[in-house]
Amino acid sequence: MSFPTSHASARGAHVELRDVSVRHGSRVVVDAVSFEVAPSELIVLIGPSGAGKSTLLSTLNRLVEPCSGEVLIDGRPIRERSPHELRRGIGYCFQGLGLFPHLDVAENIAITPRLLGWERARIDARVLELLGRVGLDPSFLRRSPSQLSGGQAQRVAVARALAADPPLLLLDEPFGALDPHTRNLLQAELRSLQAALGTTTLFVSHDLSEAALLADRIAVLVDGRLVQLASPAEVLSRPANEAVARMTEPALRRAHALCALERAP
Amino acid sequence: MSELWPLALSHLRLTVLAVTLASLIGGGIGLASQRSRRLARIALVAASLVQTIPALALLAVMVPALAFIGARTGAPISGIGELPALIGLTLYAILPVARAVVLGIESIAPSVRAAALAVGMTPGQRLRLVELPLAAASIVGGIRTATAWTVGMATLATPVGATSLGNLIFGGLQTRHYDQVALGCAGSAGMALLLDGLLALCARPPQGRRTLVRLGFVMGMGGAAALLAGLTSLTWLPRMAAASRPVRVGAKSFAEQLVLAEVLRCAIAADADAGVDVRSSLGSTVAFDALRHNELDVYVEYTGTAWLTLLHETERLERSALRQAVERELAARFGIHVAAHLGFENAYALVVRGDERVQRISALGGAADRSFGADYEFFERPEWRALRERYGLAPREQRVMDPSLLYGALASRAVDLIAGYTTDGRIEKLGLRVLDDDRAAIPPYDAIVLVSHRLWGERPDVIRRLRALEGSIDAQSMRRMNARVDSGASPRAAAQLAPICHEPQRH
Repeated sequence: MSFPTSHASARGAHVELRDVSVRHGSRVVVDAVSFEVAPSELIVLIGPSGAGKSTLLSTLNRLVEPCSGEVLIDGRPIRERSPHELRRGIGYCFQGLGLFPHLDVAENIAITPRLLGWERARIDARVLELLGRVGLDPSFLRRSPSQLSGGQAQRVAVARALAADPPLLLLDEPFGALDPHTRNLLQAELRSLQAALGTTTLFVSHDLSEAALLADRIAVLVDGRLVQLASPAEVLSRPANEAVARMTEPALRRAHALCALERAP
Repeated sequence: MSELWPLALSHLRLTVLAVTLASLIGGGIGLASQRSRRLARIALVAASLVQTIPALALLAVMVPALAFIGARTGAPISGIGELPALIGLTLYAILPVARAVVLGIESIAPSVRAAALAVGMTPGQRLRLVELPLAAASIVGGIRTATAWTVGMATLATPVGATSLGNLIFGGLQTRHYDQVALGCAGSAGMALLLDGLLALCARPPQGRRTLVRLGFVMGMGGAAALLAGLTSLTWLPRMAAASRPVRVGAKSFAEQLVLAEVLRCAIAADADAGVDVRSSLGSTVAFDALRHNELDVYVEYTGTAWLTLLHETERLERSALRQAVERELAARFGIHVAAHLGFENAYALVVRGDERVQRISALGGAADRSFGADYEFFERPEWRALRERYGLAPREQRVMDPSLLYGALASRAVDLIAGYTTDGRIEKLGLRVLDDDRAAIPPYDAIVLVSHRLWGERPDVIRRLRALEGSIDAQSMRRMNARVDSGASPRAAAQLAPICHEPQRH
């Protein structure tokens, strides 16, 4: 994918979580998680299923409200902001996609700019630009979501999340349902897109190799607790505890096996 | 058929107004249900309960209910005519619409709901941009269901005094003009198909927001047209000038009443500045309730019915004493006046086939071996109680059927005994025999012209004309007129046998 270098990249948001806990009934899903995300950083949240990754991500755009602790974006507690106004400044893309079936591709991508009251011409230009950025040609503009392949729909969903130039992007296993080839392709594209735009990004994955390829830093969640937050190299070489090691070990073994094959005559 | 169009138009107007109102209310309930689960459940249960009430009963109950509200509040609302029909039909049509809105919105995929939240929509925007467009097809479906029901049910608006294709069906059944019945049914079916087709157009692709726009357009235009048409002819709006108000003549739902309504029309219509508006096929007590509340001006009642059913008296009086007592009590209790005694009696009578030997009711010996047929109200009436007490009647079987079918059922041996009416032309025609009421269980039933309090005070000219009917129809001429209808004449044509309809009018 190629990018117009002229694009004035959005300033990435600074995100801070302070002792964020979430309870579903009596069960603690997220347990006093604190960390900071630097502007333009890409953090991947990994952990076994049920570790609270998606729930934690959802506290950032108030789809889930923490029972204690707080989330600050650019130093301001998000609790003070109205949910819909907050969400218009945060791109969100999840595995179920949720493309609006009654709107075509262009209308889907345009939805947040429209809610923000952008002018028509500006929206049209933006939609066209984004379609190019996610690698789709303009013939897709008037298609309905039902006419798209899985990979194409995923690209449209990413474009929709990016439409209003959000300083923060939340991605919840966005490539989970795709075949490995498309998935690799989109991962690479996402990485370069994110680097070009400078959007602060939190990415939920359960796949350590995906995390290692994408992340500036990896946050490992186990049973709702943040057990390690470090660079991919450090997480792989020095897992913080047994639980993390159990996650890294299979990935490393696979990688070694592949390297050995490659070196073989 | 020149009378088809006005009936069809009135039917259409009633249907469109009811469906439009029901769509607004049902839509509102559906939307409110998005805010409050409990409210939604209560509203849907209430709407379902309404559906369990038989349609005819729901419409009929509106008449006294509205009259009561009108009397309490002094509001100029009418308990008879289009208003009760409109309210009843609307209540009925609410459920399919409300349920379609709720189901349509609930069937939206959770991921789409989540996306609507996540892109930053306010609750109003979610509804407008996502939920309603996606529920549109389901909503159109609900409105189509409601429309089909309402078209069919609007035929039941006739007994509460609204004009509809039901006039053809009810009137046709009573006078055995089955071509009219067929015409009414075909008209109603055609109208249902037409409206359904129109609504189906709204749901054609591309769906979504455009479906709603089209639906809004079609229903908005329809509702506005119906309302405009209604403003010029709605019977429940207070009229400006009393003198130009047509005299409203009522008829209950059997052939003789239809003929007598035409006789009353003859009597009044000669009066230069009075229009006449005949409401036919009214439910039995609907007519009296309407007269009591000045929503009907005049109709023909029978002294026995007035005494027992309307005045709830039980004392047994002979014919002329009963006439005086009825006249006195109606005036004292309800301000209703008797303008004339027509001169004939139409009593309930027990009737058997002519080939039987019995002559008197007492000779039936309890009728334990007989199947007994009667009209809808007979078994609830005091006459039946009196008959059972005096003669010990306990028939093998009691069968309720439409009065127009009773005589045929007796002649064809489907039943062995009926409660008929003494003036019915079919008694003679089918060779049936009226049994002698030798223990005087059945009171006299003199036909009397009842006039509302308002007409009595406001229109002495009309009262004067009605008085001219005094003694003008004897039992034999009534039977002749009924027989005319039986042999295919319209009630209006049959009424021409009455002297008042063919004599040169005096002024």
